[in-house]
Amino acid sequence: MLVVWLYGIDTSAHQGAIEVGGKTIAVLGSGFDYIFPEENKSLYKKILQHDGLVMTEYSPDTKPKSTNFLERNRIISGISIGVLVIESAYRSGTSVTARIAKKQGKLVFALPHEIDNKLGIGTNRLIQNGAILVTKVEDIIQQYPFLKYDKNKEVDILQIEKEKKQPDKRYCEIFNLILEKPLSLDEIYKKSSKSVGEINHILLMLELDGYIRKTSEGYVCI
Amino acid sequence: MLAITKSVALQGLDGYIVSIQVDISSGIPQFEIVGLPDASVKESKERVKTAIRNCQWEFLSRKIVVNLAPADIRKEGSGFDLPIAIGILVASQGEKNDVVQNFLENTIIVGELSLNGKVEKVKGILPICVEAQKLGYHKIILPKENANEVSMISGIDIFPVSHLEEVMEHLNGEGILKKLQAREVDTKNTGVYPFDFSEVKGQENAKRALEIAAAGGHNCLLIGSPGSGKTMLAKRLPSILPDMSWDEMMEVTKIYSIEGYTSENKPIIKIRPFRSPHHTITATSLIGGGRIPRPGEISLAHYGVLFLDELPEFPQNVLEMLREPLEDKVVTISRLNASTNYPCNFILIASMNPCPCGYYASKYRQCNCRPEQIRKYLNRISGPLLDRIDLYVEVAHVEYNKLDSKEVLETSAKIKKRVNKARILQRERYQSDNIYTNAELTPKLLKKFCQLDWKSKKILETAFQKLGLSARAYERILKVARTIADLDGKESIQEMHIAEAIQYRSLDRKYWREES
Ligand SMILES: [Zn+2]
Repeated sequence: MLVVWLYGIDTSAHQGAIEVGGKTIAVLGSGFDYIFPEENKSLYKKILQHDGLVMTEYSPDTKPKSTNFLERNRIISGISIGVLVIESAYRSGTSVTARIAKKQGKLVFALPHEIDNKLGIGTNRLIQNGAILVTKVEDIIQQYPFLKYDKNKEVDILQIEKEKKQPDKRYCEIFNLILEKPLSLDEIYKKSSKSVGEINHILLMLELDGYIRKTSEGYVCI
Repeated sequence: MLAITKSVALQGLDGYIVSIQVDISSGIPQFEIVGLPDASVKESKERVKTAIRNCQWEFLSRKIVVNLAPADIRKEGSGFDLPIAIGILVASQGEKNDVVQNFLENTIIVGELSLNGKVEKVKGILPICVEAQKLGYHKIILPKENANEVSMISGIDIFPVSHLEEVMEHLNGEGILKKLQAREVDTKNTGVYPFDFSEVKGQENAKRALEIAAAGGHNCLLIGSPGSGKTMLAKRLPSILPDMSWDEMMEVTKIYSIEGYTSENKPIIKIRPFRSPHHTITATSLIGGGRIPRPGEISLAHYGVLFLDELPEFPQNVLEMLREPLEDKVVTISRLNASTNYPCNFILIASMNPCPCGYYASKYRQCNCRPEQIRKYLNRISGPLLDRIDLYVEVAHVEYNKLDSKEVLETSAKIKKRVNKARILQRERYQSDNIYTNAELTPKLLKKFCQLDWKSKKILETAFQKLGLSARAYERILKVARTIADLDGKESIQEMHIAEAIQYRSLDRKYWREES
């Protein structure tokens, strides 16, 4: 059982769990009548379809409040065997949750970050304070002797990420250019061998497939 | 005594025969002209009377009545001076022989008189001359100064005159009017457009969009910060439009002739017009109209380009009036007793800033506009007008080092070749449908000629969902995709054509209005 819960990246965590055939539990910070944000409805449906669980301690008519989310985190850590913190800014709610988890006697894991990454300040501090530093799945598994771990069945998350992030071969040249830095169409034209028409075609396909996005700074990778 | 001379009045570009009946009878001496607008009558009367006297003829102290028939046709301008004067002089001479009678009956006479009897040039001589010939006349007397503007017309004998006396001498058998030698016009050698795309560095996206606009006759909106080169780009569009055919040149020249923009030195308009009226323009000057209906900027842009710089600055009511002409390619000016048509088949290129401050999406300056300000700014242009614009193109500043590069840039001539090919495909395809370009496709014809395969359909569907395209984008995308396929030489629209076409709908996309 994999339980993921960090607000902000919880969607991707749930998705990831479902994608690799795991089960996942979502804990709401509101009543069932107030699912927030709206897009999460389809996510929760998916979780249920994959033998997961969606739960809440609030009555159906409870509206979402930011304090609710902090509260519900104690439930998340409570039903978990451990907590992995991916990102956490200075003094964020995540740090609070990590502290609660520790109090509850759960193991706290954290991903290290570059020292100037704002979203890494919290996790780096957690590691300083004794959280278990995680760079690979084994780092977590090892901590729980009762977990059976089949190396052969290991799903390389990074590999999945990579595959997911690799668009159609025909679009790679352009995609890789944008991967380096945001570019306008004219800039892409300068750097590539393709005509404006072809580039426009590829940019649209990349955008529709969710690899890039058009912003006021040009085309950027998502 | 009665004498009748013939002239031509114009209503729009159409001509009507005007019969000038002069009757001189005994009675209280007076001089009346009926059938002309008041202001013109007074002026014409003075000129005719003085010119006749200054030529040593007697202006009879009798009752002189001049009637310009039919009465219900609006007659304007000074071109009736000459036929009126000739009518008076012939009527005062009493008996007319058959030769004179015959000549007057079959000859169109046009010209303004100066006080000394000199024949002055008139506006609109080309359509007058063409219409005279069309109406079955084989002879026309017109001002010598106008001769060059009509010398390419065949099928009618043209007699240029510089003085009232020349005509009278001819009628009295004392001299003979010389026929104008028809001039061969080099229709192959069309004019050279003064601007070329090879002068524009960078801006590949915008250039491509304008190539598509030229190929399919699409209206286009250029969106970019001040100084990004929108005007420079728009100005060059005529350089990649197909060369004008002889008929097109004649039609455009007629309009310019009416406005007095043709001259001895510039008798024919050979290059496609580029008109760029300022946003302070009145509706009348833009669309055409006035007490005496005259063609507006949209007709002066006929077969060429109308460029509206800073589109949101144009008054709403002026922009609203563009809608019908854009659709019909002709503007109808209705007056109490007549309506006048002027053709106005032009490509509209409009430009605008991306936001009120002008620097949204600029790399060089910060945009300070709030999203709702941007939305309000964009909404100034009415939906129905946007509905008639097929391509939205973002124009970005070109960085200095790019301006400095020494790459060889494509000339307009080369782009024009591709445009011509695409136009030929369209002309063949729409032979029996009464249209020439993809921009003119009706919903019914769209269904017939813009079929999509399932892949393209899928792309279009996804684009509508994911990019939040507005509904109005749909037909525009199909038309533009059709043109892109034509430029590509493909009979069917393919994935990449539809994908590229979608990229030219940036204003329809969500991000513009929601993020900043
Ligand atoms: Zn702005």
